[in-house]
Amino acid sequence: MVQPSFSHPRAESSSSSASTSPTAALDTFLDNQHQSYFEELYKSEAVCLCILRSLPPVCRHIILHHLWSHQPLRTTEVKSFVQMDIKTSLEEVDEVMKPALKRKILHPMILKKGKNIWLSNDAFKKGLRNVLTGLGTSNSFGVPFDREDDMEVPSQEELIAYGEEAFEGILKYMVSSGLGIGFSVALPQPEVLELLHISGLMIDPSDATGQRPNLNRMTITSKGFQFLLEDRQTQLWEILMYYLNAKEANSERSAEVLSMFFTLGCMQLGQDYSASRSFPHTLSALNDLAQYGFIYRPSPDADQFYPTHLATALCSGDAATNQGQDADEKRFLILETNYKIYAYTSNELEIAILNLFVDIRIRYPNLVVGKLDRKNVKSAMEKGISANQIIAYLSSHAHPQMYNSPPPLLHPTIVDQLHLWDRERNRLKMEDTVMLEFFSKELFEDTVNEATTNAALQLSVPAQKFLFIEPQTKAAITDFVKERQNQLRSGF
Amino acid sequence: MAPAPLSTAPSTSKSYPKTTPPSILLVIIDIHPLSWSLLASPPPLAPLPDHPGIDRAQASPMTLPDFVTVLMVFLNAHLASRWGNEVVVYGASAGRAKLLYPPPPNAVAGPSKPRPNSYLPFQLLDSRIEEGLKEMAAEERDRLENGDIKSLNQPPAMVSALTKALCFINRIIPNNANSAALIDPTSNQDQNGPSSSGPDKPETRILVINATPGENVSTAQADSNGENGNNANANGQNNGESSQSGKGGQMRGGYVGLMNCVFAAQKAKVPIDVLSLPPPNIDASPPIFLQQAAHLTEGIYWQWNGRGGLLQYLHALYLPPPSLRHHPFVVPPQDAVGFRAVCFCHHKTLDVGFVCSVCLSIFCEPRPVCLMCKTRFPIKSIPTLKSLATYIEPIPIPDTVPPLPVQKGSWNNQAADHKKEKHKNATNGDRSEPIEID
Repeated sequence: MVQPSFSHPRAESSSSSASTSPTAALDTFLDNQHQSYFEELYKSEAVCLCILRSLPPVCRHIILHHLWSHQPLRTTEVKSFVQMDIKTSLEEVDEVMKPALKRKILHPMILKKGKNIWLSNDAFKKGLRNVLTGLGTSNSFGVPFDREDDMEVPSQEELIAYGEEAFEGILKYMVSSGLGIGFSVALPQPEVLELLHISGLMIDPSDATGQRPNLNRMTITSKGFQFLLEDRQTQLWEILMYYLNAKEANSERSAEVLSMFFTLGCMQLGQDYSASRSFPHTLSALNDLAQYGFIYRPSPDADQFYPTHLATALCSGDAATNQGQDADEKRFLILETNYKIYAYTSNELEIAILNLFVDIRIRYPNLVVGKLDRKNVKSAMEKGISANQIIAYLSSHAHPQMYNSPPPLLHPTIVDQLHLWDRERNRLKMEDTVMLEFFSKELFEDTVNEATTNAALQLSVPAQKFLFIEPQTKAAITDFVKERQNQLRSGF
Repeated sequence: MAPAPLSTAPSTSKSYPKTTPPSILLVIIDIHPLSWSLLASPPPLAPLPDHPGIDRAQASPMTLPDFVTVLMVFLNAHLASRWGNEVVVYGASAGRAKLLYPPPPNAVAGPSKPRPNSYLPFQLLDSRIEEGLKEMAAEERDRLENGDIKSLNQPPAMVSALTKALCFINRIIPNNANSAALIDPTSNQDQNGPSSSGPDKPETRILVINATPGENVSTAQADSNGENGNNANANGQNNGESSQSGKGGQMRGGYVGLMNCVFAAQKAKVPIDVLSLPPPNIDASPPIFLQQAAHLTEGIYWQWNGRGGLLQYLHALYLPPPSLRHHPFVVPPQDAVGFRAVCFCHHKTLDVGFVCSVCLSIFCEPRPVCLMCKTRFPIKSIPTLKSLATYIEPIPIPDTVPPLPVQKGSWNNQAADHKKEKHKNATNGDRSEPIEID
């Protein structure tokens, strides 16, 4: 049996988390788009700025380095800039600029007058230059609303509270549907429910076909549970990408909507903007976003709107949503080596999420005490939550006190135990198979070889000369066995 | 403390850092009116027959508004290159320095109506810098109208601005281990979970934009070129804030102050980048003390060649943050650095000087009593020292070679028991003969 190796749980989790940035959903979406889609996007300066910032630092600085040059970017230039040997292969240099090529900021490398060059995308270059100089004309940073002086202006705290309430309302609804525990939650808007259904975060268990769900009786799926454990920015981008994909599925143009997301991300919290002038083509999408708490409208049909922190923090890269006043609120967990968890929170949503994998024993007004035990963790894993997700959740919500002990943040005992529980679940695997029994050792060995080369082998037991193969390869293997048998016999 | 180094193994592109810490750029602009008037009407450039490509570019006059426009684009690019990047701008004018951006926290926010086509942080930065520069210009005009000519002739207050910048850095990144304890393990945990990171420790750097030719920068002393006669008045005038600190009213502290700033920055691992605007046709001698500052703090020193292209140069040389500069990027080759010092008695730049063996003050001539620490030395040794000093041959250095380490000549220490002669390298061959000692 293969021994599970947890000697480097850190290395393992770091490699898995390296691939998941908050904008992973966005990245996969953009990776699948074509040149024309980007041409459309880069008309907006806000998009150029956000895409530039999403590039890895080396690539980003090469682009900025080259921004004001009239010449195309030469490979020799990049090589000398990043201290590569002049004889380095072109593929390796291309690899450096890969992120920019994928975002169509540079055109693929060509050979011109004996020099290998990348031509830059003029739309992007022009857009980025306009960002820096402020000379654009596309109103991509939002047109402010001309309000009268006596109008009431909501404070930043009010906007944050509004956004939190709206978005957490949706999350609470998802949690409560899964746990069946009763804290009263308002039913989200029908459009929101529909998106939750389309995205596969929630399903109607009574609806077998998945075609005509009853939106009011949906329950959360394992994908939905995983979604709940993500950090806020990842959740926001995932929701937006589900929304965008739904739009695409209805064969609507999504480039303008996507560019609106970026514009919202570049807006300023506490400033009001004019909807009709900022987004003349995507007003309906803006209305949809209001249901998730991305924007606040003083009155439902007013032209004036305020972006909330959900919108303005969209593009702020790494964990900027954790900064500010809700950073401390999010760091409330103390995990002891005896599996006890103390959560200093009174947030219903966080308690409900904890309840997914923690056996909650005591509740005080601002403190919840519970224990990680096998039963609850395994029931969470049944729901599709992986050990890595639980670990990520625990470490991202760790109380500042936890940082006072020497790293690692979470004690290895607990991390290992969670992994073990995860493995336990996968100890047995059921598969259909066909068993062949042999009497001749020679024939058995030949068949094993044949099955291995055709990837049909599941298990071989040489002692008893048993062979287990994939059911769909049965005919082919038996044919082979017969043929081989004849050959062997005729050989004698 | 420096930001934790990112995982950077050489060779393959896979090893390039995935993220960099946020970066704070502190800019010090020299806005001395006299220097800018020189820059706005430069003499014609000497032809460069060796480099026809460069030679074709015309000499371009550089006015302050032109330059500020370029600078703003550069600062915007700095802000654009990462979320959480910040900019701090100080203006250094004759004898005084002032914070231009960010505005003090209690200041009333200006008429910042967002423009639909500019990113609001950029817009705030640009308008505030413009406002601050106009305020400073108005102050200069007041000084002129009040007949305060002498103070106008002071050199730009680089020391004052540098000190302010270093204090700013110290305020946002205290070198206090207690507060760092919460942050450091957090940043180690960074890889562990997607959002387990605490705030990354920002990295800081200072960019000094010098417009004043030659050695007038920061040290109020006679200029040997004679080109800057208009600054001659300043030599008699004590530099504003340093005069009080001088012992017995003798010492003017510009040089000492600058060097103290440089060593403070060196200890705090803050690179000081220097962009020297006066092209060679205005000023053949580089501002050696700023060049030393850049060299000692591992910053980048570069002198504009007077032929335009500043926007491109700023982006190419000064934009990458310190964490990317040496790996994977490469620092542009630096000119040879002159490590000459200034004497404490007459504020002359010295090739050969005399150092007090007690307090290490530098003098241009042997003294029986140290001016700084009042240590007495035997009077008999003075003629011996003088005669020995005449034998010292300064070592000429080629113009552009990799920077040499500091060479402290101590080969004639047998000459005296109380004073040592200190030999400093000269930058250019033509400036390298020893200063005559009377």
